[in-house]
Amino acid sequence: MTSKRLQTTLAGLVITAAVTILLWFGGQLTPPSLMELLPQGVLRIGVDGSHPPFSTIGADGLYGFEIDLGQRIGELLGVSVHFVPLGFDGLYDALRTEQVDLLLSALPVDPQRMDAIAYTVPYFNAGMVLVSEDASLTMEAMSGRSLAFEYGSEAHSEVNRWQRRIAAFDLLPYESSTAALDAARLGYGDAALVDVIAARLYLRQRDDWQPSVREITVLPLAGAATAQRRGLVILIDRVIQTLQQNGELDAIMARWL
Amino acid sequence: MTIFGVTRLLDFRRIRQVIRVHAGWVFRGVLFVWLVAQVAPPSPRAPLQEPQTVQTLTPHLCVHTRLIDEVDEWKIQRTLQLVREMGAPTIVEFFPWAYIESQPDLRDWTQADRIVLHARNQGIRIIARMGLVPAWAQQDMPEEQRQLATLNTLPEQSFDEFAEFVAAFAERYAGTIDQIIIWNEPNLAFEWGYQSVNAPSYVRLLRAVYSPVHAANPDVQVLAAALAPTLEPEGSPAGLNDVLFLEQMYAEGAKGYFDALAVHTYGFTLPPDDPPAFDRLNFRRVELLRDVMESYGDNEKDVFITETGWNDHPRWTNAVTPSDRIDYTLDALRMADSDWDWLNTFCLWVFRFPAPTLSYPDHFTLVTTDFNLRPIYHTLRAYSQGQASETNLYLPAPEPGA
Repeated sequence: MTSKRLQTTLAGLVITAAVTILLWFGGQLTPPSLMELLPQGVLRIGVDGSHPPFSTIGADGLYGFEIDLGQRIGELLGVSVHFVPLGFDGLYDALRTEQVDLLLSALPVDPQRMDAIAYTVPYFNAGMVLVSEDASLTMEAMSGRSLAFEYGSEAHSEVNRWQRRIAAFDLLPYESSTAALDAARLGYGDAALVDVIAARLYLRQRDDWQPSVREITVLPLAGAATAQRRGLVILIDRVIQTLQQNGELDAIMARWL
Repeated sequence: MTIFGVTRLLDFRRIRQVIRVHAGWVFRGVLFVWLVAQVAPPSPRAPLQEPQTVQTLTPHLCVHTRLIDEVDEWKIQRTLQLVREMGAPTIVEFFPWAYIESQPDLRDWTQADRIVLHARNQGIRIIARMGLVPAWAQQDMPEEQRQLATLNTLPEQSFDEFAEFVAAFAERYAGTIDQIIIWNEPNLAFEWGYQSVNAPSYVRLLRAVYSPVHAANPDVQVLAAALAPTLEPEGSPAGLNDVLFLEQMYAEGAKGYFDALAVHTYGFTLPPDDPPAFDRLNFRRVELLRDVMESYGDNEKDVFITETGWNDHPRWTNAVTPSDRIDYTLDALRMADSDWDWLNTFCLWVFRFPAPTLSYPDHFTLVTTDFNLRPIYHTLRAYSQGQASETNLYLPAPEPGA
């Protein structure tokens, strides 16, 4: 191929790529209007009302972290919010059958669903944390120390993985994550490995104990809509990011956990 | 003539010439591929063991497994070994129509065969639950409805095709699987494809299935679907009270189209001896369903509890503590064994998930996804062998100043 032909071919490829990128991302950067996305001016949010502190049904209706978050999302979008209580098994089908526009239901981002589901940016990390009075403790530093955890839980599985990766440490299995945290607080063990929600709820009730809380695993929780409504997700992402930047998300969270 | 270079590609003289010229590289390439193949770990295998039998003092004990979505065969085998060692002679397993017959009349039995093979090898009986609709069976629905259909949406015009599939299943596994549950919780809108729940329609499904399945396997028992325990009133878009739904099934003439009743009954936060009531969800709610059967003269039929149990998630509103879960489960098992002579199985939901839900449903399991045995597993294993429960699985709760 002559150098002139090569130059022409390369230029053609660059132009084609640029046009493709513009069409692709340009389309995404200009989401449909709210009127197109929510023609009735109502954002229908599916929640599992049996999962405190995220959402719970009480005598006065639904309450919890995700209820407050959903209300605030509606306010910032300028639409009213209607919460729809659903069972855990029916959450995604309710989206698919258009009974709700969005799920806010302590949902972990599931890569296997991403062909049909668009997730918002995560609004909470529900992974595991290491709680200890010794701020220097990490997985590697646990060798020769003692670790409390809930027997048979995900933390127990994580402990099993640690046993294969670091030198021996003492295992302190307890019936519940609360008992494991008690063990770390009362000096029965050097640390407790629990999920972050258990840790936050426990520490709320014990102002007199201020241990180090180190993030160990990541479990992002996010809102979900159908992939066909990616435009709605883009709008909600912007709202969540605003709430993260101005500190409102932390404030809402602090009300509940 | 050269057509798209094919003739040139098939010019063997030229190929030989290229190989001769580049022989060294060809040899290195083949050697590299061979070395990589040696380094790669072998696929896990699951060779069959000597045929096993379940040793147990609790013949009613059963667990609902989730093996159909399991990719690795060794995990199917390991799960069933653990079920046997726990002393449960029966499992309930889901065999989705949509998985096996994703194209009309083109059935792929590979995964179902694998489950049946390993269950038989461990000496475990299978109760099959049927459901999930392939897309092709929804094609005759009006376009607008089809767009909103879920995998649980079975249009009436496809009842006969579903019946053909269940009959083929019954014939294939006759002698190994002799109990088949037709559908799951049809009294919930979600499980009925978000159509309004409709007992007469469900009875038409039973009627469509019953004769073909018996013709395919004369020893089969057709189990009417377990209904979801729910208090939803008449007209609710979410579902219908299970006791009312069963009444309506009998009123529609369901009696002649099933051989036994599957039941889901959960304890939620209540102990197993909490008395049954129409407006209360608890373990003994199964007695209300039995009353309906007897009021229609169906005393001879067995009841199979195909889902029951308690959840021990720390925050779910319907959960109990792990030790209450163990106590309640054992008490329920004793009560079922001693008081209910019409009971065939007591199946706990759920033995293990192939992937964790990362939410409260994981706390229904007896074994975690990565095969950690939860305390309740140890207790049930000890109970089924007539041994005292192991008590030192976890430490006593820490006390200040101890």
